[in-house]
Amino acid sequence: MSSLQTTNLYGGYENHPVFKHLDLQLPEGKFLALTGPNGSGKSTLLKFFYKELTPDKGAIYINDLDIHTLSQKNLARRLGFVPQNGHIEYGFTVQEAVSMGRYAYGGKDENHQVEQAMEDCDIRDLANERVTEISGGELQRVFLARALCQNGNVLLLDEPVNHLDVKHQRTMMTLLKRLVEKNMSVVCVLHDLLLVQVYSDEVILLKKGNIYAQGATQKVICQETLRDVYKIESHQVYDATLNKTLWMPTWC
Amino acid sequence: MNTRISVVLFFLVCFLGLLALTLGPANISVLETIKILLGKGELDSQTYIIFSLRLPRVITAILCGAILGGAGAVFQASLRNPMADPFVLGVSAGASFGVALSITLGFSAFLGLPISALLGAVCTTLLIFLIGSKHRVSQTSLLLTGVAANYILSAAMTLLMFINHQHYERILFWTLGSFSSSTWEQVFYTFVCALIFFIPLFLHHKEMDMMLLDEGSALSGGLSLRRMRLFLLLLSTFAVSTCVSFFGVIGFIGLMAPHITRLLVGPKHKKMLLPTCLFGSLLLLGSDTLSRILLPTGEMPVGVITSLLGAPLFIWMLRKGRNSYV
Repeated sequence: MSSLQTTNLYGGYENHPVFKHLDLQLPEGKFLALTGPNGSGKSTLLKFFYKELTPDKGAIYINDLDIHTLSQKNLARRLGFVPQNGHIEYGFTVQEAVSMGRYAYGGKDENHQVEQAMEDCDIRDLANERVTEISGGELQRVFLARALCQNGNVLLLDEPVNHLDVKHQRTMMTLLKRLVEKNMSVVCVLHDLLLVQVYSDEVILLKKGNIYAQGATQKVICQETLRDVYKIESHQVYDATLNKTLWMPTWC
Repeated sequence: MNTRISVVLFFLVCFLGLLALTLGPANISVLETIKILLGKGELDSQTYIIFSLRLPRVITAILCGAILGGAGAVFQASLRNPMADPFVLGVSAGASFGVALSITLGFSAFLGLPISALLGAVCTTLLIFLIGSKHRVSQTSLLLTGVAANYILSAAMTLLMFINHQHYERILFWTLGSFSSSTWEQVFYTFVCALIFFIPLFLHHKEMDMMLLDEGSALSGGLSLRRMRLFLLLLSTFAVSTCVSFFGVIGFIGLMAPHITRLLVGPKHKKMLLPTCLFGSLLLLGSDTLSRILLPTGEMPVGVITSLLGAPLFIWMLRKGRNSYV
């Protein structure tokens, strides 16, 4: 069974269709990395999933339900989204910001869910801090907690580790991995091929609005695909701590 | 905390209202005013002054202040712009232009001034909404579009006054704003308008919070952003245009009241909407009272006072940059 599916998806921005008849199925209960060069349509695809964009043709399904037939609140109960540069106007407290994730439920069971989400994202100590006064890494975890409060089984993330230092990158990715262990379907736009190989179970490699390759990460990320999609050379390195061989871009 | 602030603000509004009733060319003491309000006035002339001249004026100033404060909060949330308010973005000027055009073309008799104001204001709001809804429109661009709309409408008003001498004073009234000719009929209409505005406004405090998130987070969180934004903007436009059609353009209340309140109770709309409306009432009633007593020779337009108070705040906010003042 797929968590998200598109059939014959056609659409994009005004006078600029990014996707022309895109068919894809995203796996359930796995960490899927969505990657590809700039402008390949990764973030645009997520916008279709949470209905910021509407397809000109074709359909999108979540857990086999056409999202067109779901209200925005109903969709929010199935799917959460963490933006690339999440922003909240004014100095809400962390707890107030996280509780916005319960909007689709009309505030029902708010306290318990908010506490749990803050616990999961390790931001309980920040509950009364203002979002304008915390670091970028902490703010990203606030947005993750807000999305988790929605209690959906699909989580979309658009480059969640952008602008984060290595330590916060690792914290965020480990958190996502833990969610997958709880049977959450995670769809994460990532540019960093190292993170893709270390953390994702499957990968979709997009190129100019089309799927170039989809499958198990170790099969898709290889010298040939990196050369074809990114026009770069790469080499293999062995990471003893992971006991994995990883493809690295050759920098010079 | 916010309940205590609301109670304090409520009593301040009542106290200032009582004080405003006593002030004016006819000297009526506080005690005498209370007696008149309780129906125990001794002089008919004083009763007439309080009930027919001063009380409608005080009540309309309180209601308009609350409406303008609430509308400011709506504009700032809907457009995710801390410097948005119906005056800065030209919505009040749109309403005022609608009235002036209606008077000049002779439509005011059958169209009515409130409808004329509403048409002018709605056109301006829809323009701002369309620009604000576009992808990748910066906050600055939106603000500058509103400022430009304000300039264009003000220039058009000046042109109408220039080519239409017989209505010069009547049109000028709407550009400056005044409560001097408040009547009980206007009190009734403003009260009905306030009810129509405030009931949905207070019911949608969660939506207003959600609108302060980035677009992706708001939509994925379950908010029908475009529909809600349009609904709240049009609701505020209706309320503001009613105020403008009766009392002219009054600037900066919608900017000052929400910002001062956020400093006291934080940005959550459940906590800040009521104090914002009360603060709006307090500011406008205070400004109107000052406009009556500052000049020994007569009254000055209330819009002058609110602009003198609000413009420095606007400049301060521009200099401080977003988020640093809350």
